Amino acid sequence: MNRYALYPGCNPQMAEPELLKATYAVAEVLGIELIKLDRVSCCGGAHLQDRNAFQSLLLNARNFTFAERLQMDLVTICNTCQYILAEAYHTLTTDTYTRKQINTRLEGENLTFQGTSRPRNFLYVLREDIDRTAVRQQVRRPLRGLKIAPFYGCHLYSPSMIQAVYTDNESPWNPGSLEDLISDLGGDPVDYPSRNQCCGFHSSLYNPRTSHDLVHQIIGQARENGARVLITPCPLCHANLEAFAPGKSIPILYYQQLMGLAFGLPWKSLGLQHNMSVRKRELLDLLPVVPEFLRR
Amino acid sequence: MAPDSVRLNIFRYDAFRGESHSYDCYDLTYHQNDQLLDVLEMIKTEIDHSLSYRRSCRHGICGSCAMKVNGKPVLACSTPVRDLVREFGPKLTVDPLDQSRVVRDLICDMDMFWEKYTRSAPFLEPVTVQASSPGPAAAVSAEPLDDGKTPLIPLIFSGSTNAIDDADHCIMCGACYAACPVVPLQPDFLGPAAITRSYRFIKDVRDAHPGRLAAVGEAGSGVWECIKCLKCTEVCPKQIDPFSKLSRLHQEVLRSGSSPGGIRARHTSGFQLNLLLNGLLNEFPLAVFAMRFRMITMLRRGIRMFLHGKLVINPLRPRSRGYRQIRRLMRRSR
Repeated sequence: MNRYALYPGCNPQMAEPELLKATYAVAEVLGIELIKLDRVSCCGGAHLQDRNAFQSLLLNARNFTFAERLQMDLVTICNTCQYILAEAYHTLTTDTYTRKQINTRLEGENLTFQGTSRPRNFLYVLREDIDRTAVRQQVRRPLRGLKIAPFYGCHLYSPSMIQAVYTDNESPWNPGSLEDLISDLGGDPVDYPSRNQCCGFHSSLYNPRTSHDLVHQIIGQARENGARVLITPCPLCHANLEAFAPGKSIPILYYQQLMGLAFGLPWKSLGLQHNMSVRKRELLDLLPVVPEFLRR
Repeated sequence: MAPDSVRLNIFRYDAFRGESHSYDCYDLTYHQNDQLLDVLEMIKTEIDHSLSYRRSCRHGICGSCAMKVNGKPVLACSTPVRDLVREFGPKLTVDPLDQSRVVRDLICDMDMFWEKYTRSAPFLEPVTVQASSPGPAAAVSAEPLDDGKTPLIPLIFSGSTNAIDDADHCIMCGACYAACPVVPLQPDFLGPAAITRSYRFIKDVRDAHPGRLAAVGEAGSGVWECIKCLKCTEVCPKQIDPFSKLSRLHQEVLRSGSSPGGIRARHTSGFQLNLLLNGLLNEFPLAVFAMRFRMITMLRRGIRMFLHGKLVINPLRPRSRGYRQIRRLMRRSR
């Protein structure tokens, strides 16, 4: 069994509970054990860095120590957590002076950053550690003919100069892992220009207009290209897409939820009742063949 | 080694003819060391003399030949075709940096970019130090002032140059500006290149230009428009990482207290306070803290979120089990 230390992030414990539920459900089917770290802090979400970069680095060095204690890789389920943790890991493993400064502070709490646990996103754990045929074998209800638009966001693989080693060398300009996953589930990936764009989440509180325009562009292009469902790996993208989606939007799911649907897992175990863009009947009507127990 | 083949679809347009744009298709062979510019030169000399693009130094120094390949802004002279084929496959689409501002084929009107670059006052305005005042030890004297006193311009020390070194490497190619998704939506936004230029002088101890920080902190045009997507960092052919400069300018602007509207400053300070309280972030109290009475504009979304079990109203939830330790560490690293 593959075992990982799960860095849950803040949003999945607050506004995006469906992500944690769906991740656990899918992990269980694929024989992945996720050990949730409940003493970790927020990564700083690209905002603490704007106020006190050292403080953010210190907190993230501390976050790594919990995974190191378990001798496991640190697995993220949020794009921004992945980016911030990967950048912190990069700084701490390449800049010995800063690492010493950080460890001096951590020693007061009997902690030491060692750099033995790598930051990895769950999407690439599935891609690199789980055989693709293993995913295909779990598909009970292939999403045959369903046109699905993948939306990556940006912090999943950027900056690629640091992150390429954790993302199977994914190109930020031509990513393909979600398309591969959709194909494995029997679905039909939709190509559209905005799939690797930014949703504008990080400034949405004070620049809602920018977020609104970006989200309308993303969902509009996905629909124009025939998509009936949109999937994303990031809770921040998901929250922003759902918040700013035009009145008549397509369902916006996590790729974990889509996997769960294809695996034939029950609706509630995937947290689908939390998705604001999902109307149960409409989504079920889109699925090729829906077994009776799923409709309950 | 035998040459490989590639298909280039190249954007063609002539503003003076006023016809609609088209794509011309060229099937070519390339060698392992060919850069994109080499292939364009081959088309221009051997197939179609009318193909137009800017280029000069061919060594990644002049910044003339930036263009988009399959949506990715690159410098044609220093991007190997084999890397592009590896990234996008053997069919490449070559576009100008900004289709809406094309003059001809791959040549764009860069006036907006240069206008914003000029607004960043991209030159040193030296600080002067009175001879009698205790200033930096190393200084050079300048022209005497009218009152007879001699001003001194402080020298920069090697430690301080590290902060601005890479920002100084900008070749003004406009790749980051073309990659930025905010620029088309917010035409007043200065963009990554101009802001990086401002950063280079803000961090220079010799510079005394008044109001640089206020300019980059301005709502509508400055650092607050950035959505932190890192596209500028991805494309910079000089690996300058404009986003990290922008992030450091956020710190400077907040420190100087010149951030506009209050909501932006309250958002980051609220973020920090939230972590101090719980170790984790709850966006609801953060939004209340940052937006105050403007929360009313989010009422509808709030109700929808509440109905879907997405709103945690208790400001003490979610709370990390290690929140006391987090608080101690945060206090010790203020």
